[in-house]
Amino acid sequence: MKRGYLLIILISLSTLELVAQSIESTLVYANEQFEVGNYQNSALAFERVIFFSEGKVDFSVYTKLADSYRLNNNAERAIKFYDIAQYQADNDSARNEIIFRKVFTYLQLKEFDQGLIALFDLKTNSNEQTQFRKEYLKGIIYYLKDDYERSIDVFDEYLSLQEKEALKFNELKNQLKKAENIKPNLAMWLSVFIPGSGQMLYGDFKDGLNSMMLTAAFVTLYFNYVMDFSLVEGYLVVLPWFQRYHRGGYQNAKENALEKQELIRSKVYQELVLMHPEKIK
Amino acid sequence: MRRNIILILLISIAGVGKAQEISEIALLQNLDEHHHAASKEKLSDKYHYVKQNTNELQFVMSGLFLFYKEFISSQDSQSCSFTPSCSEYALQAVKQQGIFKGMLNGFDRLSRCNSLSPEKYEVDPETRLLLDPLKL
Repeated sequence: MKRGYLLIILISLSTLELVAQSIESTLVYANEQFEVGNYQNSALAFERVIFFSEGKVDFSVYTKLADSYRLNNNAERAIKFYDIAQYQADNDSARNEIIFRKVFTYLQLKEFDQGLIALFDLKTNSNEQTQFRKEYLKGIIYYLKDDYERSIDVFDEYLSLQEKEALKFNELKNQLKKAENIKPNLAMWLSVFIPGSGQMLYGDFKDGLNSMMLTAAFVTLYFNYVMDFSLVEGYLVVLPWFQRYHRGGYQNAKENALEKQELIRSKVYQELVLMHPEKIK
Repeated sequence: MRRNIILILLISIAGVGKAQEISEIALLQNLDEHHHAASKEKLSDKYHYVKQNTNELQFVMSGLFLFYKEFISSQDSQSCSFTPSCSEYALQAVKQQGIFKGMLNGFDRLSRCNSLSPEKYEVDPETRLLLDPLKL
């Protein structure tokens, strides 16, 4: 009987040791997989580590698990584990880093509002660099939400201490103002009344002239028909064609204006992204 | 055990900083939806095969096609029911079947371009237009 108990204790002890070894080696394996970019395997291995440790692992394991999911394009699951890591983190600096990664994951999902909300969890009172990074991301998110005015305000504050960048930023502000002044609907209505003028308004002379000549040709043809045949014939034969190209023209005017606006905004955005805290410090 | 885990993770995290900055910038740059909306394909890139002509007739037809696309079709809203469009189809037909048969094929396509019998064609999932490529 006594020998039986001893045997059971010995077996259970050896099993425990086996499990402990297995967790460590799994963790090494998980890290190896993460390093070589095999994120699917690393995620599975980190999940295994957490499962066999019954969740009693350091927050950094959760962070790496979330990273694995994020890099494996499973952003929803990544956010879940960033949340756990964030609440288990034992210092502000680590917590802030996790929050930043969570924000980027929300951005990947194009959930800009959630990203903005997550930014407010940051504890920035002790670290200027964190504050700097937070403002940068806030500005970028507002821009992505098409809230250009707020984005400019945030960047104004963000760059207030950087004289060189502030000058460059003024130029970007002017560009944005230029984009703001482009009115696609105005271009469209101008082209409704004077074909081609909407395109020309924003510098697209080739397209404007093209539209003007084409519609003028149809108008001439219409009057020719009316004079040579009858009003009804002109109406039936030429007007459908005129209507088709006239409509195409004013739709083009609106699209071209929108395109120009988007192009300017895109250029400004690319410049703003390059104002990353690490680049301008 | 816990200490070992932290140690392993700390070693693996070291040196990640710079790469992280680059990946952050790349990710943010890719989020730019304005750029995707603004980028428009050039006519010569879109119809690159137009330049591949084997005789003068094909050269003239290709020139007419590009003129039509540049100055007339560009002023029109989407009106063709098919993909490839009737003009593209006619050009391909002329190039592959010769001027006579190709023109006839092109006119046949124009007479079918009316959306009156969509059940006869598959729908292209990308453009939502009726699929009718040139069949030889």
